[in-house]
Amino acid sequence: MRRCRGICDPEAPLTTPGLPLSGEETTDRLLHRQPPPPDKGGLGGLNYCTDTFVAIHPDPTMSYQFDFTFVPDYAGMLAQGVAYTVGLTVVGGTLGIGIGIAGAISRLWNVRPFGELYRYYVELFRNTPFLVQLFLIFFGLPSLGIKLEAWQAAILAMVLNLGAYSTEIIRAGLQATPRGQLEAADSLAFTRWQIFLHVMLRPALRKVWPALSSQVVITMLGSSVCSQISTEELTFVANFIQSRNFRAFETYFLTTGMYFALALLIRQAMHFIGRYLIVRRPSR
Amino acid sequence: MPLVSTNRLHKFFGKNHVLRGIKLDVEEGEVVTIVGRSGSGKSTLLRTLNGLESIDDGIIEVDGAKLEVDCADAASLRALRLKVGMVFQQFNLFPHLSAGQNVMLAPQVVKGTAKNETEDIARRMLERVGLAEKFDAFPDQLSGGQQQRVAIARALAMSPKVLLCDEITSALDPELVNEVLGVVRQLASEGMTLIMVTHEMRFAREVSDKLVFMHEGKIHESGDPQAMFARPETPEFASFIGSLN
Amino acid sequence: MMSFSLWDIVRNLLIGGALTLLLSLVAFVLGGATGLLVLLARIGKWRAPRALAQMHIELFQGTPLLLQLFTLFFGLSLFGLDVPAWLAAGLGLTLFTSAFLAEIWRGCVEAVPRGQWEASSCLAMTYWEQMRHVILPQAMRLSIAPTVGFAVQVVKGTAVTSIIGFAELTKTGSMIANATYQPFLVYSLVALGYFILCYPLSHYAQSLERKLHAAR
Ligand SMILES: Nc1ncnc2c1ncn2[C@@H]1O[C@H](COP(=O)(O)OP(=O)(O)OP(=O)(O)O)[C@@H](O)[C@H]1O
Ligand SMILES: [Mg+2]
Repeated sequence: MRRCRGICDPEAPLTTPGLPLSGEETTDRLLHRQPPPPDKGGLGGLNYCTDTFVAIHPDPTMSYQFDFTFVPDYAGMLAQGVAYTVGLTVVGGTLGIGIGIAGAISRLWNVRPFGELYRYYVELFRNTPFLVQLFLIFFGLPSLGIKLEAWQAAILAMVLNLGAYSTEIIRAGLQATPRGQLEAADSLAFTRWQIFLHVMLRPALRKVWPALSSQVVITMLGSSVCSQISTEELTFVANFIQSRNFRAFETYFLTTGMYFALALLIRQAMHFIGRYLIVRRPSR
Repeated sequence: MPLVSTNRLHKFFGKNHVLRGIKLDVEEGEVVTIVGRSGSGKSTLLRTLNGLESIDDGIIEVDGAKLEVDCADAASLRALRLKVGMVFQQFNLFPHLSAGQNVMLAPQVVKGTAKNETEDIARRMLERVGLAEKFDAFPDQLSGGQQQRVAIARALAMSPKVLLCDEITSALDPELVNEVLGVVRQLASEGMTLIMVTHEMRFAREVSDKLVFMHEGKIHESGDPQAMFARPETPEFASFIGSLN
Repeated sequence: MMSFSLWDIVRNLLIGGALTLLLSLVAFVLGGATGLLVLLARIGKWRAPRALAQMHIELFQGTPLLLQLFTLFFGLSLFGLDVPAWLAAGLGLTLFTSAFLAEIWRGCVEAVPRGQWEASSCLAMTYWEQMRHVILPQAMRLSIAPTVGFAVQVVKGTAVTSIIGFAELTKTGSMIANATYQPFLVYSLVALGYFILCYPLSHYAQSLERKLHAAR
């Protein structure tokens, strides 16, 4: 059932929902996974026992010492993870917003049969979890003869998810076009397409750009669960590292921080794009 | 000893010097009307009188409650606001409370008056503004004129020493203006100290004891309204009167 | 290898669904209570709590829920606590929910017109008296629709707790999918389960929103 091994070593698969759970195994394997022997010699003098989950409890009588010395060794890998996440977000964001624009148009003018289809699509995708959408695409579609690579499934899920939200966001923006502006444009003999582009779409995007940006950030953060189908993005890398260095808390803490920085970065980038591609105002 | 007195009052909004040394004294029972062009600082002056705007220099004293630049702490603000009531152009009634509750809230919360007592007060105040039967109505069920009268009742319920009114009829349909002016006129005749900003010049001339003309953040001319209108002393006030009709 | 009838599948999913519902309720109620505290700190006058509240909000809104759960899980075990999955799930989602609700509610507080602040100031009310009697009641009315809307996000968020091993709907689905080799059927049923929980909430939130707009 496990279709993609990724960079993880085969004996320590991630929490691919690939293995039937027998009996009492309710706590995830990730947390039970036996850590491989630490590859850094006993720095910090910690004594874990190394075979069960309880292992990561330090001796309560000793104070825990945080150890981030593993970072340089894995810096390259972390950078790859970041690049992967950014790549997913850029592709997913672009296509997702594209779908959103198409959806908003179809919904608004009730283009048959897309308007109706979009309605169901939006409701379906907004009322189910991203993780389930991802599993359905990655594990479910093969039974229908559609086999996707993990990265393809991840991008498809992100695009469809963001597409549903951005359809609604952009539709709200388009609906808010003041009538007077349309009439003014009509009287200036614009073509229909010109009217749509300049009088409706661009102002609408400008208006909803902050909401759209937030949604892109949410999608980026949500992409961390793509690690579950072994897409080799940032969380996947974190899972891998902590399985090696036995520093789960430090690894996840650091990765969380990296996501936080990424969120800021993407928000900034969206702001920039909104400013120069959509608004096209002379810079002040 | 005047009831309200300000001295050397200065106020900046950023670099905009809005109040430039205001000295204003108001005696108990006096009705003072402030007029002036848009942007001359009338609203700002009223709002400093109960601490809605901080001041950058000077002193405000109302019936012994003092507010100075360097001692504008919460306690002195509260003391000042207990003496000064205010009615706004936009009514600002609490939309989630009925007319009666609007009037009862402050006495109950701020003064800790018992509920049945505040209800008595509220009924009396609403009666005073001619809305006794609207005790249970909510603001969105009242006309603009009625809402403004409830707002007046709400201010009166705290028994302020002086009532500030900032263009309280400007947001009203013309046919509703008189019912509100009627209430103000009645308050004036009962001896309430009033400081108001209004564009209703005829009304101002009729009820005011003193007219204050503000120009560029200063009190440019003031005195008896009849006399001022008959013989304006400054060209600015003359041109202001001229622009009225 | 056991064989599963459709009823077996559905029955197990129903149990998982019940846990999803339970976790959502717990996270929403506790998250709401915590969120209220965060909100009060965020809009309060004291600087330190305000900064802390803002940090809390930005951290939990700016990082993936999955990593919040991981960090919490492993962070707590540093203190020698043996954290069961349900506890980490409940705690993590509560914190996540509190951050979002606090921010949603702050928006509602700020949407109360300035005139309401001024009018109550003039009546000599203190900051907390204004909050308690004038601002919060009005903000509350504005907040109902977005709060119900966010409940949908909480229900969907519970799916992520499957990854730390809480046997809710998605986890149950994964287990069954692997046992039955019918992933498409099972995940479709799982999706249907979430849809049944979420759609009424979304719909209700939208109608509340419309009503509020009509009332203005
Ligand atoms: N909150 C504020 N921030 C910045 N500037 C302000 C603010 N309130 C007022 N001003 C400025 O202060 C000046 C005086 O304003 P004020 O409202 O007191 O005038 P006014 O005499 O009441 O005018 P109007 O007749 O239009 O009500 C104006 O230039 C105005 O732009
Ligand atoms: Mg004014």
